[in-house]
Amino acid sequence: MENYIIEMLNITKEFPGIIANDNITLRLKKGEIHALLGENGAGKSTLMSVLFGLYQPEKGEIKKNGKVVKINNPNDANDLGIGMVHQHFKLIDIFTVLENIILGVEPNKLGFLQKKQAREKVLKLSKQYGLEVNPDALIEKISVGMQQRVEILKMLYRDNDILIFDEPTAVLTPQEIDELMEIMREFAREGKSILFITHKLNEIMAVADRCTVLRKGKYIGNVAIKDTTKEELSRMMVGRDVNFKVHKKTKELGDVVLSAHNITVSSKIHKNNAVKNVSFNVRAGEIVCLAGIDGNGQTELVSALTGLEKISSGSITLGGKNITKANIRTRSMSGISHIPEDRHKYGLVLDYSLEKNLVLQRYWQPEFQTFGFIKTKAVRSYADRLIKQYDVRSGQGPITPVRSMSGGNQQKAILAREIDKEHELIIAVQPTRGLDVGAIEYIHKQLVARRDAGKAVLLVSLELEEVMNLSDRILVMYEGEIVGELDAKATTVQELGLYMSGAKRSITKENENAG
Amino acid sequence: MQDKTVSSSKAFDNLKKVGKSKGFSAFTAALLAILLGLIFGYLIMRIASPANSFLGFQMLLIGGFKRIGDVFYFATPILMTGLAVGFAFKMGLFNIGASGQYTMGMFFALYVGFMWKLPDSIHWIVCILAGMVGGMLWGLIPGIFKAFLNVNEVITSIMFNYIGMYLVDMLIQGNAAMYISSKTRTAYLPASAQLPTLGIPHSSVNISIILAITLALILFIVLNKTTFGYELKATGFNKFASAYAGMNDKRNIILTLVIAGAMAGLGGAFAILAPSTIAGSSMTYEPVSVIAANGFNGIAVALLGNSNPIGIIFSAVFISHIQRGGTLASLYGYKPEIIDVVIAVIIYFSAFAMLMNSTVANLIKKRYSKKQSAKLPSADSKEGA
Repeated sequence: MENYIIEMLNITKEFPGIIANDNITLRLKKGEIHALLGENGAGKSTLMSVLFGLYQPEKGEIKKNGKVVKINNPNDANDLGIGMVHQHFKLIDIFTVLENIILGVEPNKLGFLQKKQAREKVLKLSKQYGLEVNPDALIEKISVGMQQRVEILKMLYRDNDILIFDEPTAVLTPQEIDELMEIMREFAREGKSILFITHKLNEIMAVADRCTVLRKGKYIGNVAIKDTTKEELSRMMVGRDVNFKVHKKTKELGDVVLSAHNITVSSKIHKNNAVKNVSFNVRAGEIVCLAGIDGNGQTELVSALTGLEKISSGSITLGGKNITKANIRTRSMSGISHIPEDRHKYGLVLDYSLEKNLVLQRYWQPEFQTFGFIKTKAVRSYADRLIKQYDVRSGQGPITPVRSMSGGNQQKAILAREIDKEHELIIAVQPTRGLDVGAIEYIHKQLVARRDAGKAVLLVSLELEEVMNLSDRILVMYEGEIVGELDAKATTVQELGLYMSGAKRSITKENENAG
Repeated sequence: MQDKTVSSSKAFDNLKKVGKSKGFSAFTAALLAILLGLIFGYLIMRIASPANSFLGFQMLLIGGFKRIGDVFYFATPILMTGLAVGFAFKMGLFNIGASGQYTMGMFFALYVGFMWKLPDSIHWIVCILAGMVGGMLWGLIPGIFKAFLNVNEVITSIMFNYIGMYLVDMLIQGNAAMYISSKTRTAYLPASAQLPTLGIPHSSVNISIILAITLALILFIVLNKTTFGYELKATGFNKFASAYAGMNDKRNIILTLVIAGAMAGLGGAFAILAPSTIAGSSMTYEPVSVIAANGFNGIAVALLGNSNPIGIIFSAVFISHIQRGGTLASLYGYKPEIIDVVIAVIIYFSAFAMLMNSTVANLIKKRYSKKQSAKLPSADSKEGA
């Protein structure tokens, strides 16, 4: 009989209209790192929410050390020693690190906070595990990696020994990921048990002991990492063989399509400039990737290029034409296609039908209107063609409300619309975010096909694997500046990480040179 | 196993079809809402005066049929203000300024009616057009504020309700040709400025109801068939996506509020230019510093009509019908104030219940479609086990 600390047996959790977990069993041994692998929507988060007491399962039971336990809410989970680092941190921005750690379990005397003993405990823990934090720093002032440490310290402060990490590496640089892995190993050595939720196979291979795979709400299997390969895991996760490598032919570079000179964009949220004096070119027939950790000015830079936001200084040229002052539609007609970062907010009118969304950039062109009246038939046949050509799947074809479509098909619809429109440059911002492997493959292929057709592609991505696979040239953004320009073939993920974290820069600040 | 899936999906298809037809769900929701409003209204009459409540309520319901001409006459202005609110709402703008636009439209129509000497055949037409211009002006200003300075249209249009009302009262009181101070009312309009009647006896119903319905139909076509309507609704649904698609939101905001203002202004013109049932007289306006109620009634009309121009036609007629019935119900000893309360309860309860209902209907619709997709795999797994 194996020694399991937590057993989730035959868990079934239904939501109206969907079975998120269908008869899933997960057994966690004491002192192991157990990966939970699955695509988006496979039911990982639901299963963890059941363990954490956020949802009650319809069927199945949870055992701790062989005894059946009932977890009704996160406090019950906490009492059982279960702690969780959520994918989106649950921290209060305007509180200090210390205040966030003790939140909910504040030590007090007659209602008065006793911060001193809390501070001692936090400092002791942080020293013990090498989780350096400044207890008095405000959350909003510290880096994302640091915020994650605070989340980990929160679990340790509560003496949890079953630690759940929900997609913890999504926001980290490669170096920070390595550090996190080391910390996880240290926890395991001490006898803490770790559940590590992810869809990144490399990380599982690197750190986990065993792995449970879910697909579409169902339990697929459990394997020991030392007996398996990355390929086998991906086959279990997706249900078929997956091609990781994107095949690209070498391609002659064409003319400069987009060129940006000394662009500065002021930030809407903060007082400072989000993009500082950035210059770069994108040529026909190449995929240039803007890499960087989220929030280093990529979003603002793209808004400036597409015309969604004004620039405070600098100039933008597209195919030799100055478009610095042009409005969004002029830019779009001059040849910029834009796959926006947030497809629900910008890319689609969710309450419109699929066909209406497919003409969102073109409804006013003579092809689709006469004297201001929309040509319904022309729109329909155009939509039918795009749906067929780009394999956009939906319940009712062109009249399907876009809101009811899956994320992958929504993205395909945007892709179809932007690719089919005449363009010289595609700006794709995190085009594969939240999509399953099949859709990711498809979108990657389409972007490479655009490059091969002699178009310029500017890709903004946070996924390092995507950056390494797709791009010809990589520009790294850090704190609103381009700090490095790398050849995708010659660089490594580690080098990229150094640039992303600001530890290295090959392009010096112009202002410093001047001063 | 194949058969089973097919048959179960068929049953769900039928349910889905009913749920899916948007018009159906909106229509049933409106009926349910009205029913709830009526029940609530009856309860109030019951409390106010139990003895007569049944007869009184009966009159409230069917009284309007006895005054069919008046029902349409009184429906006209609120149909127009309803369009003014509903049309702007499609773009996500809350045009609470329909009252001010209505008052301005009325003043412009009055001014042309009194001050301009025109041939009989076109005088009333010019009056109507002047009313439209007045309303447009009062829609344009909040539109400019919203588009260029991002001032919330609710705030500007509330202020413009007051500005419009006081301005009009001041201008009328200062104009000897228009205002008879001994009566504290405007003078009688010349017959040439009054709208052609439809000839229903004892009623002021006139050509304007036909114009109003025509305008509603035109707005319906604009919203659903034109690029402008496409942009307007896209902006209403998601202003970020419309900006992303390069739509000119500043122009659209102004244009929408100008059109909305035109509708409310026409409403004001239609109301004041209506022919009187007594020969030699006309409708008059009393400048007493009160915001025009027809503007606010337009909000209820638009809400009950789900901001759909066709729906607004029906909701305007319904509300007018209840109001006529209510007036007659006072024959059973109900004080006019109680009747007003009952009418208000019915209108607003209907409108709010309508809002709730359409939310509920949407929820049910979503459930059905999801259940269907979930039902299939679960049936499969049962077979497998």
